[in-house]
Amino acid sequence: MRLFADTLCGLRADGTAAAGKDAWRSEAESCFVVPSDAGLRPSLSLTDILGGQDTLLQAYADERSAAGFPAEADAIRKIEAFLLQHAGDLALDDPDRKRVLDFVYPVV
Amino acid sequence: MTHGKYVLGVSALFHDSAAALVCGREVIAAAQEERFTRVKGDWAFPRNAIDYCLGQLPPGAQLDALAYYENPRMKIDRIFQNAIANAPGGAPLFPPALRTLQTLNRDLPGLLLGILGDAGRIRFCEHHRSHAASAYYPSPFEECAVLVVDGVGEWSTTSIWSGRDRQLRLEAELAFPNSLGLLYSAFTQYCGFKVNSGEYKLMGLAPFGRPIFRKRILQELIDLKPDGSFALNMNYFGFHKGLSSINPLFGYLFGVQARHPNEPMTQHFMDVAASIQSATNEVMCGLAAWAMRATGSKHLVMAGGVALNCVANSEIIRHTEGLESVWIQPAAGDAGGALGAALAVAQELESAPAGASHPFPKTRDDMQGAYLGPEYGTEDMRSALEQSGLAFETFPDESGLMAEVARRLADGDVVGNFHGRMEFGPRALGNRSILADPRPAGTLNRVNRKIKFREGWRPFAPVVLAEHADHYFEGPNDSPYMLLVSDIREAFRGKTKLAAARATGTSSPGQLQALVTSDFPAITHVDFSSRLQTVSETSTARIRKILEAFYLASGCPILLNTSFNVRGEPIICTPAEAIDCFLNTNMDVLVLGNYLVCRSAQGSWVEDRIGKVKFRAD
Repeated sequence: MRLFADTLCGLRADGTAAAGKDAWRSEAESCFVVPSDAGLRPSLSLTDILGGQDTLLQAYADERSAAGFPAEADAIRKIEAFLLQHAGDLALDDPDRKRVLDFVYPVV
Repeated sequence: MTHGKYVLGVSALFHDSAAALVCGREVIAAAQEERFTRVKGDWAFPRNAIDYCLGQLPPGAQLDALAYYENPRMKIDRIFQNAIANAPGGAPLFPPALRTLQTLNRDLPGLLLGILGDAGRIRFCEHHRSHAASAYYPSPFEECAVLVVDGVGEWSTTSIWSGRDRQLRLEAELAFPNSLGLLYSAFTQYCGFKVNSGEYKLMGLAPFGRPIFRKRILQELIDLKPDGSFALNMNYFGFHKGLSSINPLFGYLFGVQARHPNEPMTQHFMDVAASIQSATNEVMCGLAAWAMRATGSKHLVMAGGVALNCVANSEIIRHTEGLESVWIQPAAGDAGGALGAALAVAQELESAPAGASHPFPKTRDDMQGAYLGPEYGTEDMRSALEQSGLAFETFPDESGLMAEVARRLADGDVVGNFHGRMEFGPRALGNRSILADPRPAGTLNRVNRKIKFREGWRPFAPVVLAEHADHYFEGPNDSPYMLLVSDIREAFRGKTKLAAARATGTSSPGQLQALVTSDFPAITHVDFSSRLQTVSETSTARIRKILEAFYLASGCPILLNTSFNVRGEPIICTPAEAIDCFLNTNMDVLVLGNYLVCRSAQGSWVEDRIGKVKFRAD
């Protein structure tokens, strides 16, 4: 099982192998990241975060597009279209899944 | 003189929703939604808590702003980027992710606009800034280091801030998935407890175990740096791509697969609990030390769910060089984010320049003992009692009532006390508390089994007159919000230590707890630690008066204090809920304001009710 953990789990999605057993460790002296802009600024208004759009997903799609990720922006718009059409399908009515969710907590 | 701005803070839709109302720097009201809906940890939009808070606005006053405790666009970014990074393996997380996107995208703005219909006055405060504000602004300190540690909000999981002149400056942070809160939750699940609610049980289990897996955790699961920062080895976790916090490799790492909640507790899981607690202590001490260095402060304030880990908190006090004082937000979890967001936005709206005419130095914090929730009048209580059909006595003189309550406590009665404003945060601090004499040997089992309907091994917390705390407890013992642990002094310990108890061959937590005793067995753990609440001489809360009367009657300045509820339910809020809890348990006495209800004075119908209601596991 350690072999599985160290080797197979180290494979990246693109098929290249990770650096090795301790690839998850870094040589850096610190894991702290540079504080994000959001942490440095005060609160934002709803007007601000909507950025002139009607919904947050549209605003986020604009943000990704402006950041140079048009494919992500397209995906976000598709997700929003899906959510508009299928919002009712997302209801949590499967009892087995409900039972699972009573015990664990999805990090979303 | 102008008054501060009225700001309503809201935390919602993920866990433990809450609302808080502030006026400038003054905290007016705060409450968790679960107390109104009776759904433990309720994450729904907190309509009831909001209504309660808005009801506390003075006549004619209007809200200046509504502050939400997160930035939903940043949260969408984390959910979306995590889904990309883990596709297609993260497919099990897609349905809840889509539900969350739906909630954030459409529902949340509509819900907030329904409270305050002006998009310009609805403000969003980043999750960790909300926590940091909840720790800094109500604290007694003008300048301090601020440490926030939790599961995750938007991206940040750990953050260190500098608080000075009523401004917060972010110094450093760790980002998802590197999260101490999620690491601790992974072990919570592994040991068979519910994620996001059973973490306190894991902490309570730890003293039964030996930290024999500590090294393995620090070698295989977490890359801990000298400055307290860390990275997780995601090969063993599941929370980034599925519903489970851990994957099967996690069990292989420890040689035993995860415990089912209904399986008996074994030494292995107690050892695992001790090990993750030890590792957590080390991480928290590292973070605290770095926070002190980075800010140059001698004061530390904390918030975030991990700041509810009172064992780690006390380790910080014991081991952080140069640390002079610590203050921890009593509602350190996400409920407190509502208060922090409100205070942060109120600060932004203040017309005075930063640092001008602030009221420091304060002699105490601004949390008013955390008694920030609803209170009920004499008529409400009398009406509830009359409707219940219970026989009750009225005490017009409070001192007479206190003497009677103290006498009954000293006689071994278990007393439910309902008085004044409900506490904000997870702890009952006297106003919604069940109290008992901690000295008799049978109290622990009786309160666990007959009143709380929970595992018999779990010890209770002591509440003690602050001026006597040092006589009985060693270690940190200034703990008004029950957020530190201290050890009972040697003079009050029994002869049998944990190692000797284990040598008898038992590994049952209940049997170990019975073997390792003290003069106060109901409130001491097997390592002689206690989760202490101290009540100072300046406190005006009724719990102070009860303690004084009990001390006068018995010579003991300590009581057992546990939350007024039964297993799986939120702490009670109303007089009717207090009466229900009394009726459904074996509580001997109910004190409702100035009314006293004794089980012994009731008809047989009261006895017949016990056991009819089944309670959910917690």
